[in-house]
Amino acid sequence: MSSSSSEASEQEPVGGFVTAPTAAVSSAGGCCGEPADATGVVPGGQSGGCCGESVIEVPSVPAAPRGCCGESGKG
Amino acid sequence: MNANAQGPETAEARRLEDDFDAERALTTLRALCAPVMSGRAPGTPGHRRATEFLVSLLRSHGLEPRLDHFPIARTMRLTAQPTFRAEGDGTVRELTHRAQFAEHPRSAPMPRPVTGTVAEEPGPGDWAVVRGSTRGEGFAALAERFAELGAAGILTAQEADASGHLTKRVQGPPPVRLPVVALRPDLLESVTGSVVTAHVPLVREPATGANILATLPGRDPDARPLLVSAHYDGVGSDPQLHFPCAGDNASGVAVLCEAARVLQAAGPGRRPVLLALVDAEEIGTVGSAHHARTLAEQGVRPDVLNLDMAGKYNGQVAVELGPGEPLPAHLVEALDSAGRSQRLPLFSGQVSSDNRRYASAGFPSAGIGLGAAHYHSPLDAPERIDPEALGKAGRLLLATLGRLDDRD
Repeated sequence: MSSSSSEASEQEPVGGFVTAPTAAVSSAGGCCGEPADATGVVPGGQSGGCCGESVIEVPSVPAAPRGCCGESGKG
Repeated sequence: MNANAQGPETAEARRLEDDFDAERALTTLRALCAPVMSGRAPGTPGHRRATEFLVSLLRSHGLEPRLDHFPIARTMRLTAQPTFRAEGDGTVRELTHRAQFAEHPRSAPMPRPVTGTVAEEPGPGDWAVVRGSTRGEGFAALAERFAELGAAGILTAQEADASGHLTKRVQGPPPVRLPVVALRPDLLESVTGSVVTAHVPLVREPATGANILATLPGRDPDARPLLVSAHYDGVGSDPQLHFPCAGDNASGVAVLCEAARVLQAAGPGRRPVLLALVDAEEIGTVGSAHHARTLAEQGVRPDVLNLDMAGKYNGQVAVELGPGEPLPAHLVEALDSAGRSQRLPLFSGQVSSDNRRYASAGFPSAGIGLGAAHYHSPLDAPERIDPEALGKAGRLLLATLGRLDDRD
């Protein structure tokens, strides 16, 4: 029974913040020709500093160093 | 997050969420993505049709939308189908726009075809080659050096996305002095030494943007308002290729319109809700910058929830909070509680969208993004939108609003 309870608990969907709400932002986001995975999926948001030409300031978190716009840059 | 972060799950919040109709949202999305909307680029007839459609839709929900116009210094659009031909070694190749080459946002105007030999060390009349990651000021300096050498233009690399398209770019710093064309990297290699004739008629024009604003009054006239926003502009269609701009961001707009219908039908909450379908996000978040400035001048400091890309659910929802100081703890608590109630994991991710303009104005802001397939590509189309994602976004939004309505 206890194992059943454990399995049920593990299978229960998780909601709410699973990271610190202001954790350093991952550089995994896709942008400007750099999809985050092989299917072309962009996982939420365009990622900051897009196209290396961003005109938007990032008020809360620094943009992660990364290439953009199909330019395989170092950031 | 600890249990204290969970807010009260009010009957009102649950009812609002339950009334969200993802099929209605999908119908709205399809209308925004129709070819007649032409990708909703500001300053185009298709964009005006989208504006009129949204105003009409909101009126049908019982709201009284108004347009707030603002100037846009520069839009970019192609006036004709771009062409690219390479001749060398006895062969002639015609490349395909968007799949093999594309416009470059820093290009000088190219009113006529430009012909030259592609050279590593360009002389007068040659196309120069720029590989690698040079961009920003470095690119401008390099372009200036090539211009002084008398080069005809610059060919530079742009990776194709997973579907084989060179994604569309519609903003950037001022143009350099030379025409610039982007090529797939393998083709950039293969055309070196060839004679290339390219014509990419990219023009820059001023335009007038239009934010679509509506207010749902609250019961407490002194309460700080809630602001829900999403951008309705798109990157625009190519001359011979339609860009529906479904995920980015017809999805967010469709969710907001459906959420507005639910809120209006439910009657006033305690706090007023400002609805903003903002314009010109794709060319530098110009509409939200104007809106944020206007609100600040009026002394209005709302809590902001901005939705950008809700067409595909990747198992968790990106949230970008701002400003960094002070941390909008009440937004964190409301989102966390709403996420728990909807069984939606939230993570701290970049949502580079209008939320940053509101955050920069000092408004407690959250950018919310579920994801999209085929960013800035003609494949960003309604058939690739997941209605479940629209539903999740809508319910999360309404659940969060319900919790924020309980606090100020």
